[in-house]
Amino acid sequence: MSTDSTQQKKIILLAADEQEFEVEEAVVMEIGVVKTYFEDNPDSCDEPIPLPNVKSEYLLKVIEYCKWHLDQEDEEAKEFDRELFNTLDNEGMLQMLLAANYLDVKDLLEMLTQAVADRIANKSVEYVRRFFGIENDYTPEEEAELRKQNEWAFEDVEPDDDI
Amino acid sequence: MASGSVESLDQLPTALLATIMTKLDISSICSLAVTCTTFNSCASHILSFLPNFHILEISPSMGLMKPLLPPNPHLKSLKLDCGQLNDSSIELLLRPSLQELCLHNCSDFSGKLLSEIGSRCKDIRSLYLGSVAENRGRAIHISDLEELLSGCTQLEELNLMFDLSLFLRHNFARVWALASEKLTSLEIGYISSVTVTELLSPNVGPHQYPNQIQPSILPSIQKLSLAVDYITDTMVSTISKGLALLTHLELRDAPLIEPRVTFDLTNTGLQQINQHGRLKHLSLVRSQEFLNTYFKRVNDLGILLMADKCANMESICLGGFCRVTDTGFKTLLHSCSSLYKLKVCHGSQLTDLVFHDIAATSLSLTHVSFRWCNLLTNHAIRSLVCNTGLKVLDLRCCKNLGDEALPAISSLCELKVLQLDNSDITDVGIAYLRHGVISSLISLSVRGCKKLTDKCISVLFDGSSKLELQELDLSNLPNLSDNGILALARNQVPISELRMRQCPLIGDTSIMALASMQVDDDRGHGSSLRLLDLYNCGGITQLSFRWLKKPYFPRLRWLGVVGSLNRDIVDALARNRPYLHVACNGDELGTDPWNNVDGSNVHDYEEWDELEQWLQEGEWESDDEEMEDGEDDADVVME
Repeated sequence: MSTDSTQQKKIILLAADEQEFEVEEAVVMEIGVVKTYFEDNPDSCDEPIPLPNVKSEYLLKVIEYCKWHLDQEDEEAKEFDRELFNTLDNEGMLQMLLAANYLDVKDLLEMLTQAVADRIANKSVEYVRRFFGIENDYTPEEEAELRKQNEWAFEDVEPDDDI
Repeated sequence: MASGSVESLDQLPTALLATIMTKLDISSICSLAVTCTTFNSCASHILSFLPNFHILEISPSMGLMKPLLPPNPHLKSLKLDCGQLNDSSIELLLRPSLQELCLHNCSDFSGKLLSEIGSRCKDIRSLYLGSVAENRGRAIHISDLEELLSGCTQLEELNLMFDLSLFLRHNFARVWALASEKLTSLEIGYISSVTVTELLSPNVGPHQYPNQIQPSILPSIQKLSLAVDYITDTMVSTISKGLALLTHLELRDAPLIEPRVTFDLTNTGLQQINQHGRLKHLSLVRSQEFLNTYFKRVNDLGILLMADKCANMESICLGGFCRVTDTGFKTLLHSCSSLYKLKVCHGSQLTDLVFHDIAATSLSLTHVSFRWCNLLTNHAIRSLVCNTGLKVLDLRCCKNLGDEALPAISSLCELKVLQLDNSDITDVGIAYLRHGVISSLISLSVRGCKKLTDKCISVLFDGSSKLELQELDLSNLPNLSDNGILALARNQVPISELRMRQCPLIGDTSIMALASMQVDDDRGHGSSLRLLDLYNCGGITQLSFRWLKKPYFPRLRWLGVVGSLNRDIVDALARNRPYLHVACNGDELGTDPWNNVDGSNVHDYEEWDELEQWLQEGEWESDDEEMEDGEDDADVVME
């Protein structure tokens, strides 16, 4: 492969639902898992890279994130981030988090873990269970005991806003 | 993957969960532990690498703390209310990895806390210790301070918020030579001015080597904040000469007796300020805590001499300068073009003329406070609001301010804090606030505005939406009744702090209304109040206490009531709400001590009238000789 037209070179990413995305190489290299893939398999840049754990909806957002942070100024990139977080509901945020984790996009992962932490801080136990889709595997007695132990932590809980 | 359904927990890697948890505060982590067994084990696990551990809202016991503080080499920041802890907790709390340590209410600790920090926490950068050894039987020795200062060689910020004069005699002041050279910020709860002078005297004394540029004691100090017995010329002069890098200076005193001329601040002292030209923030306050006394030996001349050197000042706070007239204050406004914060307390000669041509300056003030400035009228406020960026406006106890100032105030669209205590406003004036400033305000106080009635509540809040208001002070309003509070509750104003001290007409109905207040129709979460002060409200009976118990007021942290009510009832409430702070003796709740600088909040409205009378009648005749002494000194300097 010629290396002087690397700016134009496009890589194809294949999401879980078979949708294909054509992305510039520079942008795609921000995605850690893709970068590693190329380092291990330098000859396979023409084939679409399968990413079976990410839905197209979220892959698209990740690609947009990488584009914005590569091309744009800090200020505009921050605007994009703000917009992104505002439009994501709790489930969407969790999905983005899993996508960013799987795809190994470090900056996005850092921001999303902070954003998730901000959303669940000082919230009720029930809220957190809904957020992560957790099954409560305590018996009522065990839960009552735990609540008693951690009684002080429930003093400052904010009202749920996701119902 | 099924579309539309939430990912089950199996998909969330533990490492990712742990990362999220480390960004949470400790109370959220404990709450998360209750959700399921996986989260519980993750929470237990991360306690051994959590970087920040902050519990300041409650006083945790040793039993609560122990399981939450396992060995943790990553713990960098620890902040605690130590109200229930003592020396036996030292082993648990003090870790070598700590860089930031903030311990409040350490009354039951001894000086050992200081020496142990010196030997165990050698890497510490920022240290705050509140109320150490204040309980009877506890003591601090000078050796404890020595070990602290010599052990913590990386210390940059030190706040010792307790009385150092109890063990630090002035002849031991040289102990401060042991302090880290990196120390840039020092705040002390109480120290005698003689000790301060002695402490810094090596920096200014004649025995300093001629080519030694750096002072030897506390060489890097930029920020100094002290509460002393008397602010004196000697102390101010020594500080100003001896600290070459000083940018912030805050001095506050509380004289027990009328200061003699050798033990007071005069024009001479003021002239010494900012010798090295770096000062940006200055605060000189004489508090009325024990005695009604002022900086009587400072007049306009002193201010003029000071202003000469202070062109770069950004924040000035002057409390108790009763002899300074418009000339002095105006000079400050015109000399300090970068000024954004101006606070004057007890400026009894400050008049509207100060602000006459304020629009001609390029000042953009953001924090303005004029307390006890009785000659100010509405006219001054109208001139003042040309500073459209005002965020904080404190006009407490300016008796001559009234309704006509309010349209001007209402034009300030960035105003967050407005305090109009004891002014002459009526419901008519309050209505002006409705059409502007009320939507940006976070804190509003109309304490003691005797003419206000229930109407002011409906006028302010009826039909207004999307309010930012969190703090409301309606204390000392003789005409405020339950109807006013009903209006407040009806409008679902989402305040978190409500003060209604000494309101004779407020009774049980108000409490019931507040308890059933729903901030949001759908959620049914009840009142959002975190602080409620009902001290000496006329109509509060046992019935109210039923409505103060859980599940009402779910977020209440601070409650003020009158102690003469049945003690059993108050105790029962304390049992029902173990983490509620209850004040029964009239103390102000949750205050910032520096805001309450002259103790004026402690006075009832009736006492205030007498004080004001004394000020206007008794003061001017008796002290002319002392003024002459001060002037003589100034003459000497000018030569």
